[in-house]
Amino acid sequence: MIKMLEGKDLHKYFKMGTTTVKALRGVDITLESGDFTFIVGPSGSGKTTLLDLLGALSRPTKGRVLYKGKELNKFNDYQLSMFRRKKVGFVFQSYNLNRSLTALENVLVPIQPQGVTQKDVKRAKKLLKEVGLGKRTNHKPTQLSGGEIQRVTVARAIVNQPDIVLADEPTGELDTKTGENLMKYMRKLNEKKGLSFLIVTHDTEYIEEGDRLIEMKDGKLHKKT
Amino acid sequence: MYKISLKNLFQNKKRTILAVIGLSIAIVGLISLISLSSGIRHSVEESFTIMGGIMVLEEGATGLDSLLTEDIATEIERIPGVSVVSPGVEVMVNTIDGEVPEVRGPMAGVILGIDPQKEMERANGGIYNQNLIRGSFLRTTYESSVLISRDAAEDLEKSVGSSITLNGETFRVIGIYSTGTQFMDMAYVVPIDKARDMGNMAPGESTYLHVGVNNPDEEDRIANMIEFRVDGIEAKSASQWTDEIGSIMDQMNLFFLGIASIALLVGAIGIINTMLMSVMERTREFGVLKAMGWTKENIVKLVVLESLILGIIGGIVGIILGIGLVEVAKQFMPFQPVITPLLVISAFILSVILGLIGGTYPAWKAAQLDPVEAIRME
Ligand SMILES: Nc1ncnc2c1ncn2[C@@H]1O[C@H](COP(=O)(O)OP(=O)(O)OP(=O)(O)O)[C@@H](O)[C@H]1O
Ligand SMILES: [Mg+2]
Repeated sequence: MIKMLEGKDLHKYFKMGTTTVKALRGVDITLESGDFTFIVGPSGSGKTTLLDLLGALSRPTKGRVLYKGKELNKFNDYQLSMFRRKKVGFVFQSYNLNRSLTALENVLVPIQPQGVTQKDVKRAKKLLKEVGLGKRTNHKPTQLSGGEIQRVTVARAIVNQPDIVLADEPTGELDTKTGENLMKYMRKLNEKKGLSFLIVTHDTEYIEEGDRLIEMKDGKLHKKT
Repeated sequence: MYKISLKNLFQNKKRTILAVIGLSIAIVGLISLISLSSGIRHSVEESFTIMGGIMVLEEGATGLDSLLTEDIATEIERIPGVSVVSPGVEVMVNTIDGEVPEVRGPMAGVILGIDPQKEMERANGGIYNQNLIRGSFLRTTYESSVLISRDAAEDLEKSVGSSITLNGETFRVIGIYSTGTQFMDMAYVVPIDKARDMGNMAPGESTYLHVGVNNPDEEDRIANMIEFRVDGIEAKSASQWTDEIGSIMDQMNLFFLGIASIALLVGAIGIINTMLMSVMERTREFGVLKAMGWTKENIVKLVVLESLILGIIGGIVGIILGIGLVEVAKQFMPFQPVITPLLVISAFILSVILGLIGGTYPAWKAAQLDPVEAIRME
């Protein structure tokens, strides 16, 4: 398998006045294409921070992130934006969508900077269908349920055909049944498209046989399976 | 991307409307002030052009406060090139038919005494004589006859043959005129000696003198000559008066522009404020946009586009309201405010620029947001 995304000895420190919060203290992680990986761990253990580094939303204090062998540290701001636009997709816990746009328009937002073509619209519609929202394309977020909103967010995360989706507690605001439903769609995309998923969760019920599980504690990886 | 901007603006209607109102009030102010001032200028210039000849006033006087003696008229008549010196006496209207007139600004009207013979000798044949639309011109300098404007005739329901009492003195309307110029249409034209009596002026005295010349090309030169030869007076040709009034008008314009700029500044601050508030409220949205690979430039473009749209809408609304206001105001004003295409275009360009400038700083702010912190914010 190709090493798609790697974190090597990742450290992230936050200065809070005189004290320094060490959110990550030497994390080594490798993500390969087709992986379906969960990260679990107590609150404050550094899960979100790790996702931010892997998705190039922030730079590590120490250590390196490699995308297909290329070092993200050496990318300038523009190249990092392009990396986020083309190679990764983000799903956050809540408030993901623009309330003034329809589901379809929201899915198209990542394409806006380069200009939306008819082909893009078609692909976006197809993706919405794949997450079970074929009939909801013109609904605004206020007309969608929490689970539907998160499915729109997943469709938006993959509209630019990334290699990996980084999801930070995507089911955090959903009840178990809706959460399971969302997971089902993500697994389907993983199987059908070979798309990697890295999912932070507090709910171990979603984890199935064959998934990778990473546990974090105090800014370090605790145990890998 | 403009579609997203539009929808974002639509999302917070109240704030968008407030920003648009702020800017459009500024534009309304700009349009009404400038059109009023160019209207006044236009009207004054027109009057001088129609009047023609050289206008002589007492030195330092601005209008009714001028007083010229008979000697001055005689002296000017002797200057070579001068063909006619026609005196005018102006007296404020205090009452019409015993009633204090409904004052339209300081423009209630003026009693203008002229010498009919001298007026007819002027190159234009006498303005009120030439612009008579009904009845006949005055004949002597002492008869109890008056010429009134068509507007006055309509307002007061008078026609040729009616009688009218001005400042307690009763006249018979023998003619109705219309010059088409508001300044000149404010006059109740009476024989000069009647006006002198009403203004307690001695025989031969006048408020101003109209000097006609043999060769119109020499007006400026002769006007200078009159000023040089006769003490205590100001003599200027129509074009010289226009220039002088023009410079006063320029100052007035500058003053109006000052007020308008303050209004525009307020409008601009309104836009900046609106956009800053909107950016602050949408911190998380910008964080998510960055996570989705939007560059700083993309975000700047989005925010500037939003404020540009505010500017355009504010400009259009302001221009429409401004024109509406001026149209309404026209009916109550002695001057006709003038709205030129140039004024409308400038007002529009100005609102677009204000929109652009007003959006720049908030856009820069939005682009600088740290995506990690922005997304963590609830
Ligand atoms: N911007 C920041 N400034 C200061 N400290 C921060 C910042 N971001 C994160 N931290 C700290 O870093 C540590 C790790 O935070 P992180 O959000 O990665 O944890 P987490 O595992 O995602 O927790 P949770 O499960 O509650 O989301 C915490 O102690 C947090 O307070
Ligand atoms: Mg977290």
